[in-house]
Amino acid sequence: MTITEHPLVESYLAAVARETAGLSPERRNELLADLEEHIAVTLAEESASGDDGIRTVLTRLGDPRTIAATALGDELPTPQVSRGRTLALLGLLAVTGPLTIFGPLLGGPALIGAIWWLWAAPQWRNRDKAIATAAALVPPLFAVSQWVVPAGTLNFGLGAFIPVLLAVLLLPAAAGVHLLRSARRLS
Amino acid sequence: MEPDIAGKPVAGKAESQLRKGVLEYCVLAILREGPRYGVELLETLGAVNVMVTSQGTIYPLLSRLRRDGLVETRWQESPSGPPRRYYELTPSGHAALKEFTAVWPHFRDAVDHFITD
Repeated sequence: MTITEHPLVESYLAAVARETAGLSPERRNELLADLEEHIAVTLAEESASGDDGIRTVLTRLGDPRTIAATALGDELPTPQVSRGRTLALLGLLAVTGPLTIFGPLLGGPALIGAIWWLWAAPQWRNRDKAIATAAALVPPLFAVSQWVVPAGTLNFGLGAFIPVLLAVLLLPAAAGVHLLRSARRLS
Repeated sequence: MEPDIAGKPVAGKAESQLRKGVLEYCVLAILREGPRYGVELLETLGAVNVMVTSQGTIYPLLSRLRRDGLVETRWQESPSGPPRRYYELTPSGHAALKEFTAVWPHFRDAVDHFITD
């Protein structure tokens, strides 16, 4: 019989396992393995055996509830970010490109809403938010430049205009992909 | 817990709050001397009796230090008894300890300044 199969040790570890039900399985198993090692090492070093020796070791180890409370207190409250909301925001961001160019009346509010929502979201660093904001502002700036600059002075020719337009339209969507990836990296 | 007339549970609370703040730096400081396993760390900490009350609580702390990248762990066989999990300072662990070591004297002096008449 190994020491961890001793009824006293078994019931002690079972109590810790019960009290740490709120931990992730990985953290819980790590804690149980650490305590198991502690018990085995202490008994081996003190050449203690028998119920009294084991009881002393367990008493010094402490109340399972105290250990569990320490472990649970360490569990960082991860910001609850719903995936659906992230995708909705990125979808909105992606449509602001075409909208601001082809339907400015709808596109303007959509753009303002998307940027507002983006800066209110907790899951990105300011740097990523700034990149996405800059990308989202390119289509309206492009539209304004087409309108303000007198026809003819900014003549790409149709062959160049179409790729540029496509790039401008896709920029907010690309920023969305960037955000999606950085949100994954951070979480 | 109700404070009794001797004020002991109150002292216990202050002590446990303080311990919560400094214990991890004491652990990092012990590891500066070289890798240690859990029971060894507890023996060193236990020599100063305010530091550990419930030995088992050191393991969640060590787990957090590992997840924060301040210590690394490895398993090592032992001639007697089961394999031990050794804890070792990482460069960030050294840096965190250095930072604490720099701040602590000011902190201690500031507290002394307020509590001594």
